[in-house]
Amino acid sequence: MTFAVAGVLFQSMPFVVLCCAFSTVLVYARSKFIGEMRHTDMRVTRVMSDKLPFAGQPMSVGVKILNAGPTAIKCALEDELPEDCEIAAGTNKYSGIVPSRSHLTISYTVVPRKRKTYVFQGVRAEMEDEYGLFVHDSVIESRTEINVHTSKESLDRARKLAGREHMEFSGLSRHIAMVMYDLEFDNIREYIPGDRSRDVHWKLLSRLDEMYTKVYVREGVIQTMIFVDCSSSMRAVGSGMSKMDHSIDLCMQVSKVLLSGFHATGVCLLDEISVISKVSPSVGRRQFDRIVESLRKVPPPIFVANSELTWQSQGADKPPTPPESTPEESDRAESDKFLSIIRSLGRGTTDRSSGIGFDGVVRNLLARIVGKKLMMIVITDMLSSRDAILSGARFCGRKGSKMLVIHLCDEWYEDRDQPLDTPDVERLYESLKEHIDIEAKLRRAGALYIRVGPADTTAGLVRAMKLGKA
Amino acid sequence: MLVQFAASMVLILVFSSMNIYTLSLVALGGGMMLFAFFSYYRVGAISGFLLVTICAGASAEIPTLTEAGPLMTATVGLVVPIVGLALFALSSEFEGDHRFRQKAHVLIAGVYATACLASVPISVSLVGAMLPSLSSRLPGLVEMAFVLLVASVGATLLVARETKPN
Repeated sequence: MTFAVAGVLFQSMPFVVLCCAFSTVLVYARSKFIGEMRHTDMRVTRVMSDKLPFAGQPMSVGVKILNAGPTAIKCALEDELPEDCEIAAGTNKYSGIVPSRSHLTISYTVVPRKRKTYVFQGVRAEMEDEYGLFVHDSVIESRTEINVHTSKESLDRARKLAGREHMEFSGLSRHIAMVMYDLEFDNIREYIPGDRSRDVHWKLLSRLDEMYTKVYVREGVIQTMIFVDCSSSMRAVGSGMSKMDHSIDLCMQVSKVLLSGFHATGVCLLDEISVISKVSPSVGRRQFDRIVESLRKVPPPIFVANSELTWQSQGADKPPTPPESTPEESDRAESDKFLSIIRSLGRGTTDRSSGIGFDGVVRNLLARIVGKKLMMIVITDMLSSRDAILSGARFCGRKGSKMLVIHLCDEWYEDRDQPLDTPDVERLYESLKEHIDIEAKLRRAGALYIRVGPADTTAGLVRAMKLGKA
Repeated sequence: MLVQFAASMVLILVFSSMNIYTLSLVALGGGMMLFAFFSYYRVGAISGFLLVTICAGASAEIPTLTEAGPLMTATVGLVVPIVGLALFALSSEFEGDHRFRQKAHVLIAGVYATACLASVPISVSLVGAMLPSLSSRLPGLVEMAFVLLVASVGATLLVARETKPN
């Protein structure tokens, strides 16, 4: 440009010709770069060293980049990290020349912060031509998905807890909180002082005027199945603790406690419709590993702003109309709508269960183990799957199996940074009434019920169950 | 690359008439280019290249592009060596073995340079064929306008193409 202006101003033809020469260089470089780009063949292979990554634990990532094309490429490469992932060591970037038909490896360590599915989309490549005149941005796709489990502390806590707490009770107790063994009637004998009153044969007393005691034999350990509700309401997370994460921790720790007492334990993850993953009850050596592996399949949480959760919990039909509609607010309105639909799924409906989801799973399970008893522990927030759980509890009670519902109270998982006002208190009162109603229904169906919040630990839960407080 | 540099410098020196000052500046520019090339320093190489280019442009004698002699001087004495030197200077920071064996881009650049330089003779011959009564001699400014017009339009069209990776 400068040479063209100089040529015109000084009326000098050589400068105009020089301008022509510069344009030729530009055209040449561009054509060459386009040709190189057409023949570029970059391939990316990502290798995760950890097969079972945990939240908060470093995980090694190796990215092998192969330049299979005929030209060397000068580029800046960056392996794109998913959200909530940070680099602990090494680098996910490379800048330099990748010779033709050769490969390079980038190795680094990332720390996933939360339990969820992380997706590595690919490697961002900023390719530069030989002369430094042109740059081309592209993404070399190499999709890698990893399911990051809950934090490892939870697993360690489960191990420690298993050595300390045991679910079964021994000796005399007035509470039959957790029936962990199936008893079969054997015969009767004369009453010996100290026998439990529930074992006395009261009908014979009226007939023979003598006290006899029923004797049972222990037939075997009752199998336990832990159901984790993975419905949408469980996965919705505001600013507080995630119900889903808490339920995974509870499930993992309770199953460890049960397995340590040689109780056959299994896990079933299910959403509103189908079973996501299932591990049949067993006491095998690798049963806990199978349970932990199965819990990886819990779907990732749905993150929603706290204010959105608040107005929905108030039972409002519509979100408060904002004065000006910005893109963020319209997104919020969409998520409001979504959550209100989820919450309305389990509330105020009078329909009986449709036989799908939890209800259907319980029926299938009990139909398969005719003549045997089963202990079912259900970890749920009783929102999306309320009717299915109530129906399942009734069916379970009819079949003689036992059900324990661990109810994660939705309101307790909200992180409040402001004091409660009157509408909040009214809403909490309404939800408490609803919880009491649910509890009454479950107890009528013969199920045990325990209400937990984010502060409740498995140790406290196990003690409460043992002491018959459930 | 060094052969390319040497050949370009020789062509510039052969086809231009330089005095001692211009020669010293060309030598300085050439030295800078070589030094920067071996130091993998592109900015230095381009500075030297600009020095050589300005000296070559100032000392070349091309009054018109409608005659064979000046046209030859413009092509062989200016465009070819300047393109060679420019590529030499620009590739000074590239350390890898970069040999992209394709003739397409050389051909495109060659056709483009030819079109720019031949735009004036072609225009003159077309005007002469269609309007023989007009003088075939165009003012220098008009010739420059033709060259710049063809150069800018051609460069815009060729450079604006999208790069599509495989």
